[in-house]
Amino acid sequence: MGQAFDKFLERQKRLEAQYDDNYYEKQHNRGKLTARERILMLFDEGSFEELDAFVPSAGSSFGKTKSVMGDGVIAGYGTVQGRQVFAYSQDFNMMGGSLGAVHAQKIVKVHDMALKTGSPVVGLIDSGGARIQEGVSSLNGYANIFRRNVLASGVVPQISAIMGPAAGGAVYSPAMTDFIFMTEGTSYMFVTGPDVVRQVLNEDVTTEELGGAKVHSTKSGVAQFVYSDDANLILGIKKLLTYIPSNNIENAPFVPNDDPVDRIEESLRDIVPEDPDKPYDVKEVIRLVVDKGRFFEVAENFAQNIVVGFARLGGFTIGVIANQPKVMAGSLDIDSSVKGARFINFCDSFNIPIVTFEDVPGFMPGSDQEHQGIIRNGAKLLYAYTRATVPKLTVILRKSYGGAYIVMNAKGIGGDYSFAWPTAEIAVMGPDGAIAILYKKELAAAEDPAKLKRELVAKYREEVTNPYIADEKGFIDEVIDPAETRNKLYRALKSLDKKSVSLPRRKHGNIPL
Amino acid sequence: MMDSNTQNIQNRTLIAVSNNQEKSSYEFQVKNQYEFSSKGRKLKVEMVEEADGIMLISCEGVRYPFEIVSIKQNTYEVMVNGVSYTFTIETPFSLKRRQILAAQKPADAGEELRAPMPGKIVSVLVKPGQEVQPGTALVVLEAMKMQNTLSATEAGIVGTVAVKEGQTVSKDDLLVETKKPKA
Repeated sequence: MGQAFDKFLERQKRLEAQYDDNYYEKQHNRGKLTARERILMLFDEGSFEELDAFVPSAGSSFGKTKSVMGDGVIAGYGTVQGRQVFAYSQDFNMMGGSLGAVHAQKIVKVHDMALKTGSPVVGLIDSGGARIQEGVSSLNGYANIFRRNVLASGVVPQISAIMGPAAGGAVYSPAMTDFIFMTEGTSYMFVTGPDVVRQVLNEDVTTEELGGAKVHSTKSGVAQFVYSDDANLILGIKKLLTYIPSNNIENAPFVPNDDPVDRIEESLRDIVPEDPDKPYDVKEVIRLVVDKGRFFEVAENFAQNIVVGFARLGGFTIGVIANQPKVMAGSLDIDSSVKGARFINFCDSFNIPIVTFEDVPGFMPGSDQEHQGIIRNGAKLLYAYTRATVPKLTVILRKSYGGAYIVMNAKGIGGDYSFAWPTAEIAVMGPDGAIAILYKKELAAAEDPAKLKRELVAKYREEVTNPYIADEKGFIDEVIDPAETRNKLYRALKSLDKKSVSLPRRKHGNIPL
Repeated sequence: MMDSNTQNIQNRTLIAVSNNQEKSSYEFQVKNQYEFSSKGRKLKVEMVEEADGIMLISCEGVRYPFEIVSIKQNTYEVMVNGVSYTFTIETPFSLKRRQILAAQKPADAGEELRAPMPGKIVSVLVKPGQEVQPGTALVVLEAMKMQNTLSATEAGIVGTVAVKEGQTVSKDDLLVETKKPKA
């Protein structure tokens, strides 16, 4: 080979020199892996193809910029467990991973290619934010990325991993993607940092308290997954990818296993306590029903009164939504409604059937919730369930009262199959409330109101709060033996294999926000 | 047990760090799925599932009944011979990361348990000075006609108990405060 090839090799060498020992050491001393290690770890060994590795930074309009090859981001594609994925990994070691015009172009290219080829996009974020030296060009870069996020929304899955800082406008790209992962202790996200907060509001708050992984996974609900370190986080992304399809026209991968679909699970008969005021853990129910007890929970530390996540039934991915009687009695409040609605929207966009396990005493009462807008927020859950056209199954385990009965996938709003366990209580309201309204006068006039109330409550329980009235009216398809839940759900799901729904033409509906 | 999630661990050094108070650690080298070594000693380990579903772990020919209670990321809870052990599996790098983060972290002030919703305190299950573990039940709050057990999420020592049985509380009222045990 001649000179041309030598020049080619020399260029390769220069790129490799950029990733010297010092490059690795700097990031390792922060307890983090480098951008390069992360992206290689994400992809199957030897499958990563890098794009635009040599691009220099754009010229700066102010101050000093040092040019590095690749402009602080590693971008490209490869396979994850054999399936094509596009990804980019911001490099904190190169100009703080700051986003300049070229850096943004690379991310945009990855998005465009992913959209063209119907592949998921994974963004590994570790960036100081917009590159000040490049001025408005870097802001325009963000704008271009945001637009791609919105274009790709509901077409290909988008996953963001915050593995370092993400501040200011930078947070809005992850915010528009489907799932956000964070590393414990080394990642943070906020619109304004602690320094500005101190200057403007005189509020003293640490980075971790303002936007660390714990805050976003428990209080704000911004992040769905928290992992203890970079390597575990990347394994988490790979696991999530196994449950979801590559785009909105494919189905999720079929993963056969040896768990028989007609498995009889007798312990389900005793899981709901006799006393309707006693809680239990709905996750136990989910684990006993799904394949091999494997349930990949989403946002497990946020709004724990609703449980959402992925599992499989006979090898097919399902999205599970369940009220959690163990937390706040499983009642629906603002946070749980929004959490449920967002998960349903994801499942519906990506052809994942929804299985609902219902035990809900109602919406959370009180001025706190009303003033924060439980009406418009609860409406999100109702809207999401109603709009979803994927197969929708419900099992009513116990309580199913009032508006919450309707919201949690009643047949009237489009639920395909509703099953009820014999312990189900379906009514407009619970016994105590109903008796207080229906027999107000009688109770006031009674010699022993407490005794009369007890009798009436018992009568109401006996005659009204059972699944058989709803069953006889056709609002429930079948009252089932809890032990057979798995098989009933599997068969119902199979019968909906070719479900199709035709909807009126429109630009898009106006979901309450 | 091999999940799609399992990393390739052949020919690597791993460290098991106990999550109990004493924080002991145990370093071992993995040759492959069945062969390990620790401090120069070679160990042959195998998992066997009996016909009745009971799992046995065979180490150097001796069998112990064993059960994986839970796996969460790299935290494992296993039961061997009826004794439960909780530990994390670390790589030399992730162990170093833990140390870096621990050094940066300011001394943890402890935990404040606040009412997640308005309700009535049915019972208070702890006294000041009592040691608690993650998951120890602290108070039972009745709300939405349901008894909700509220538990500690971190290990600590109970400081103030701000409520009495029968008391009504509003959302975000302080219930119990725990402090970190002194190292």
